[in-house]
Amino acid sequence: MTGNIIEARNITKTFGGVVALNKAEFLCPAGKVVGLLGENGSGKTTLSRILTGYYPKTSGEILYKGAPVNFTSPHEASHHGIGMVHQNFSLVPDLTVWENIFLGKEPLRAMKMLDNKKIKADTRLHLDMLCPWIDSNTKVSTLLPSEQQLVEIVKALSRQPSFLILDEPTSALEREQVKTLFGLMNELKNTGVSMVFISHRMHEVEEICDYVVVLRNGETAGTVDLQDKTAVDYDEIVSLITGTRAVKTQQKSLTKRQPGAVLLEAAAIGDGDKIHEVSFQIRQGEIVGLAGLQGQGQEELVLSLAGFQKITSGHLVLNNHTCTFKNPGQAIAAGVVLVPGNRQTDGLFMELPIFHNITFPGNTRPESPWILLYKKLMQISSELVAEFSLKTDSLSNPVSALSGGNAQKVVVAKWLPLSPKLLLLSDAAKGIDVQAKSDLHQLITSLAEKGTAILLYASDLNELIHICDRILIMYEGTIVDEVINEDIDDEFLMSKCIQHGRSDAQKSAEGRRDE
Amino acid sequence: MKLTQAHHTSFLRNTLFLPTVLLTSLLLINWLLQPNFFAPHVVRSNILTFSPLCLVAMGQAIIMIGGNLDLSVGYGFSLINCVIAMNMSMEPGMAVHNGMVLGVAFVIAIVMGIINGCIVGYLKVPSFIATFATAFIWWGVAIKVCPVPGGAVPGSFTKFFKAYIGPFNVIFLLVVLTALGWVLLNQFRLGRYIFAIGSNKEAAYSNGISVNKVTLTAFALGWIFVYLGTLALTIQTRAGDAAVGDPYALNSIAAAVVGGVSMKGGVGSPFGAIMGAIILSIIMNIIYFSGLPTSFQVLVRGIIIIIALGATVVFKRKYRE
Repeated sequence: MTGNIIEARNITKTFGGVVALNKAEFLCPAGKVVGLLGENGSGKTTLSRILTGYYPKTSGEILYKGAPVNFTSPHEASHHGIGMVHQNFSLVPDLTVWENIFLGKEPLRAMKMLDNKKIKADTRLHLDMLCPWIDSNTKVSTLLPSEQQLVEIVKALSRQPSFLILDEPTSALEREQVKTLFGLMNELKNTGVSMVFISHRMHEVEEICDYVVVLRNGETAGTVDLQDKTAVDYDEIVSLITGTRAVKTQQKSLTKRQPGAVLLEAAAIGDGDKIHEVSFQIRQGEIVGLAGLQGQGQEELVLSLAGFQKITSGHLVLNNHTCTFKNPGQAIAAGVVLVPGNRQTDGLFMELPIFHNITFPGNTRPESPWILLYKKLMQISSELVAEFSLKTDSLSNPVSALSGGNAQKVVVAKWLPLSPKLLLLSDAAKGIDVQAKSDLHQLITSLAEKGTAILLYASDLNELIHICDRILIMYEGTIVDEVINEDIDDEFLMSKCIQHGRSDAQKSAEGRRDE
Repeated sequence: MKLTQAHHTSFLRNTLFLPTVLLTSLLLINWLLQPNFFAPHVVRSNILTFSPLCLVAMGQAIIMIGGNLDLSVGYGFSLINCVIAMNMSMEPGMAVHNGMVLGVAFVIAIVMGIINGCIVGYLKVPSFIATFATAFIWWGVAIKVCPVPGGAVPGSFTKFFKAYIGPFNVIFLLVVLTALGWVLLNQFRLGRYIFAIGSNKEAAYSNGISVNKVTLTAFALGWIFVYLGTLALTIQTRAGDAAVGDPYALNSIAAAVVGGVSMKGGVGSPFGAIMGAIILSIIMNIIYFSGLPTSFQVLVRGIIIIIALGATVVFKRKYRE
């Protein structure tokens, strides 16, 4: 196939007074995979939503298969063979997998009744391509996030699109799952399907894409051909993404911190469900990472420490005092705070102003004055906003007007006025752009230098290697290993994470042999 | 980059913009139909008539900003009204006794708020269902207290509350109470908590807030205004009636929504709720003065309210989201 399956010319989109896209250009050659890159808020999602008919464009022109089109709904776009894998899944949580996959496209039998037999059979076929272990009768809400992501992808594929946009499909996936997905994408490519791949992970873009289009502040910053991998200048791509800013390459911070006294000691703690017999220590000013395969209890451990769930066995010693937290409020009072992974649901009040969010709860603790001192609150939030280089034109705007990276900065910044003793982060950098991530890491490091202990769980191992002093490896709800972060790489760390799984399996196999 | 509390883009996004426009145009229409509409005595009597709904709507707004709604304010209103009317004494020299009756009624109002708050906050029953049920309890008790409309409220009491402070006594009282509601929600930590639980319960919890406690407090606060609303009506009717509160439940919710309070919680202001209540009341006024046959009035009222609500929702979608 030759030519472009889709050409978007001069696309402008404004929301109220905010310009999300400004004369953006986007081409996708037929039968190719085009990477769409850019920082959070650069317009990637807006562009893909315009191409798929979710938003009407303000101005500009779209040619699909050579003819001008103007889709007024996703339904219409999908009728023409345009599909989308959404970043915030388009699945209905209370319906089963098979009900979701054919939602709105159900095959019918006589009398317009649903042909559930066919739906289930087809669902099985589609699931087998990507995630054969998922039972199609399970409710979507009970699946792991990675499984939900896979179902979302399967749903888009089941509609046999000729042009498919995948909006950050890999951010919730494990390595092996990403490999399977890429295999499938290559197969689809060979049958002539054109795809757009959106991701923050450069190495994935390198691996799967033929071209990349970079967006910056709603404008097309440039296009790079990746087909000849040897001739590609990756620094150029990064500088296209960040603009004129100096590129901060991910290098390990060289300054060695001197950890202080032991701040927190966990002695064989467990929650009676996902974690058990977890023991470790954190010193003041130390950054400790939690690594492991997905779902080995990392998140539960962090939540237990922050008072979100009960610790049923073992005990916690904070500053030489045994403590139990019945709720997050008690943990916060003791100086243990959490930056949650899901900022929209757990961290922010989306429709409330930025300055409310950022001074909440730091200056609205039960011990702070009854009356809100607005001048002081505004001053504190201005300072925090400046310190975090948070991009906004007014502190009175709702948080929902911020991009993901900036919103995450609010979630971290709000804790600073409390000067926390222990800062817990649960995959806080997930889905935020390179610059925001680097800002966040700098902030964590500077907090550690001031004596705050930090326990960081991240699904991205590189992130852990980048800033942690020590990394604890979790497997099946307990800590199985500890790695001092000196000259290690993600391969090594990954092997540590997998290793325990394997040795366990071997042991049990040996056990069976003995019997 | 400006880091001041600038409002340059927020003119249309302000929750009070549409209510202001609606209210102004309705006032003008009413003035055209009723030339003496702005005469001091007419204004005074209108405000007196509107004030019960204004106050109940304000209470409802506080509960709604906290992410719930209360369908039982109507029959709670009835119960408070019955308790006051059936227990006050017309004999001279009973001021202390009458004052105590008012106090007891106040306590009853707060208890009703606390019961609703406990069921919704601690038992986690959705407010829509919980308060639908408790409404019957309040009604049942009201019927027990006052089986047939009656009772009496001494004129001295009425006079005390109607006492003139300048030409517009009740306006003054309303302004003070609105200001009080505004201060409560915007200047105190507690108000911030109420917005927070209405906006995002999970986030509020992870910020260390006791969601149950704040829910309970929002209900209790809301019922203070329900009590004040009942007083405002009782000084006018001077009698008790177990059915008198019936329309207030849904009217107060409609008033709050027209006034920019979000059904989902976390957005709104007491001032908006009052404007919404006045808008709904003026609609009735206009219909009355339009000379429509009585048989049409209810129908027309429904149509106008749906237009006002529809405009609110559509406008919000267009400019605020």
